[in-house]
Amino acid sequence: MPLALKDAHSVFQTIPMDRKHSSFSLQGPQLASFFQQRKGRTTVIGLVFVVFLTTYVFIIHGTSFSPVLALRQSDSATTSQLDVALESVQNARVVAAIPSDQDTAVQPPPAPPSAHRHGVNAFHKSKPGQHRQRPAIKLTPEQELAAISSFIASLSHNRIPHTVDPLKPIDPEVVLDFDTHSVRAEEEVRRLVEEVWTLNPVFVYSRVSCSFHQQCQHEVLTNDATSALVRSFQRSQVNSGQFVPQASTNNHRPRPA
Amino acid sequence: MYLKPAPTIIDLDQREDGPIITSMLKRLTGTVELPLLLVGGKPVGTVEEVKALAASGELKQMISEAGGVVDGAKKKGRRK
Repeated sequence: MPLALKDAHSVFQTIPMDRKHSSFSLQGPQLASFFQQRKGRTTVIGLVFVVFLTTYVFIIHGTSFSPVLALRQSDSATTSQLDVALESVQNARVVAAIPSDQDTAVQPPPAPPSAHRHGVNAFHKSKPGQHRQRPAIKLTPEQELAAISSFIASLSHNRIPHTVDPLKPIDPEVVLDFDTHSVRAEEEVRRLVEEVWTLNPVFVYSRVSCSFHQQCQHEVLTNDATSALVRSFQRSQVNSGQFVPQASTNNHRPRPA
Repeated sequence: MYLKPAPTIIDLDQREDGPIITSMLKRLTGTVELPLLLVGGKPVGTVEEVKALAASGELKQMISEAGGVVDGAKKKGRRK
């Protein structure tokens, strides 16, 4: 008889006859005698080890057994890694395509930080050393108008810095709250243009001196909206007269005629 | 009776950057007069043009196409 079977048999012999048929419900003394056996201790220790090992494997590598959990865990990381890889490849292509003499020309001038609708500092959105080679997007006049209007309308304390030359296209980083060097910048700009005119279909640049605001608010609520808009618009123009650029700290300001 | 969303009005003489914005608007829109009315991001024109558009109903249509609702909602009268 093998040794293990012999030991098991000897253990079985220690259990009283009336308990043999219910041997799975071992009592304290029986259990103690079972543990006193060398093979019994080894078996229990081995069993505990296997339980701990199984628990460890399920805790550490449990997500890999479940495809859903694995996807949840690795989705964002994989996507970000793919994005980074894609951008680095495209940046490398851009650098290769831009001649060295134009490389310095496309670098935008350093812009002062600006807050946007979420109070995010746009200047710090781009991490240092990232997207340095890729030139910033260039806005069309329509896009620039939308970006400026969005910037002004989003937060009341948003201000165009005095260092900005109004006669030249504005640096997009001043008024946009996303990385203008990114591959997705063009798409972001298109979305912004669409969003700003959807949220503000009627946008008026006026002056308090022509009291457009009060007239418009009052008349829009009491009369026909478009007629009120026209009347307020007309009165404002009569009061304000023709537009002449006022005193500006900018040196490139045109001289009034 | 209502214009929704309400017109966004920027009073340039109440802002520090007003002169810069007016110069930018002049460059971007070619308009030298204030107030400047933008409907759907496009400058509508001078007062005469705005009046003509309003008279023909075109202004209302432009605002509707831009996503605005003209005379869409009415105030409910108080029940007596």
